[in-house]
Amino acid sequence: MVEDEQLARARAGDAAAFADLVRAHQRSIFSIALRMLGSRESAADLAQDVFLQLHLHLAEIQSAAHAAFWLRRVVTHRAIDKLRLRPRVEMNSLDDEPEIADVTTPRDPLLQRQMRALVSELPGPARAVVLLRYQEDLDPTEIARTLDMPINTVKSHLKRSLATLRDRLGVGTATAFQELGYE
Amino acid sequence: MNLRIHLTAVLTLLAASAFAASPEPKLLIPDFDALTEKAAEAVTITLDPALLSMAAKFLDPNNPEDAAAREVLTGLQGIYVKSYTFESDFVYPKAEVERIRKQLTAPGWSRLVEVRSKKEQANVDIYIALDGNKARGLAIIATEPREFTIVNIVGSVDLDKLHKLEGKFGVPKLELDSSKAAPAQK
Amino acid sequence: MNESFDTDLKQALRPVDPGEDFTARVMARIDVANVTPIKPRRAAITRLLPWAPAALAASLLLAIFMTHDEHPAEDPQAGLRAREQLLQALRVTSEKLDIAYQVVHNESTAGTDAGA
Repeated sequence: MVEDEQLARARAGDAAAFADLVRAHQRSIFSIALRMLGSRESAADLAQDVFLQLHLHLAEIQSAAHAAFWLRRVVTHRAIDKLRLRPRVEMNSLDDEPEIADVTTPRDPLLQRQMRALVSELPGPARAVVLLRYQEDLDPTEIARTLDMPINTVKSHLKRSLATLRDRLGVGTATAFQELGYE
Repeated sequence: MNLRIHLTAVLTLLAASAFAASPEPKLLIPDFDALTEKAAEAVTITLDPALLSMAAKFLDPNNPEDAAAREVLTGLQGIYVKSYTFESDFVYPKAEVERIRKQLTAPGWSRLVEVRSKKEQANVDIYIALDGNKARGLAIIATEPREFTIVNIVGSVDLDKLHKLEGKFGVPKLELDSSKAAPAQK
Repeated sequence: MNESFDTDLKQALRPVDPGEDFTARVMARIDVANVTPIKPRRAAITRLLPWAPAALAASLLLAIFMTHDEHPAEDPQAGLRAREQLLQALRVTSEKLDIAYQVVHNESTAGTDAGA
């Protein structure tokens, strides 16, 4: 409710309300861009562009939930587009991603760093699916809507990507995918 | 009298050949509507002089990418791009691509570079439209098993500036196998 | 074990901060994208026509604004879209040119080495 009011004020031209909207979503959108593109500079540029686009399209945004959907959709599509135009070489540096400050102790920081590196090696669309699932906590149906992708393709990307991650990390077999309920 | 006629004939021939060599820098690129539905991703960009001028006004001089783009824009009259990516090999109509290539055999167009990469099965052909010694247009046809891209740039093209964009846009250098490149042909 | 993998992956992919000044930079870009009014022209016209009846001056001004070719630039949405398309087009072009430059450079280097 509060967020919908904020959106209404932003639509009415309230710059402070729009700035609040940016602050509410910037971590999520920047992080998607960062993990897709592999560099803080590119991610910041893309994320800023996306918010600029949101400002231009505010009249079309119907609710706070719609804004969140719209932002994720635009940033993933544009990041996939940018990746597609890049040659197929490894670009990201592990140093570009800051250590995540957390109030709780990370379970295994090295494992998590390896996981982020492996996610960054996934092909663009698969990487987007994994990020929307594990960073944004979307279910496959929501991911399919966000990416304009058939749901079976989403499930297929998840299955193959998780299998790859597990295999590379020596964690377990692909049958675990079934247990997650994605078959 | 004879000499005058002879000179007139020569001058007429030269003028005719210069006129004939004046290339049409804007290619006729099909809509590829049917392809858009088959493609995993499709990019269509049409920037005529009015849109280029509009875009230029929104370039941020403090952004390196924007600043580099502004440099390239000088003298350009149009940029047209169609790029399609597919999920299977060779589902795009090669005949259509060849029809575009055929336009580039017209007088005034010259193929600058022909690249054939065995490893990636990537082919890139770059053509330039010359009017005398002035570049009036550029065309790039790039094909891979699951992608094809056509770029047509109309206007005074500075290849060096275009190539130097590469660092600004964060596109890293490719590692290629030993591929053939044909020298400039007329 | 699988829940543990899931939990680790979610923790690994928790969102990170873009930096303190991110919002400020977004808002600054929005300010830059706003269009400024075409004041100088109006001022010039009224300077040229101080003697003209107000109605005539008004219709002349209207005619000028309607034919002014800066009108498309007054739409920031269209302008930013055009900018985005321009940058994308140049990225595609640059990538394809780079393939060719790489090959030509490799060929000429190989030739030099062979001749040495």
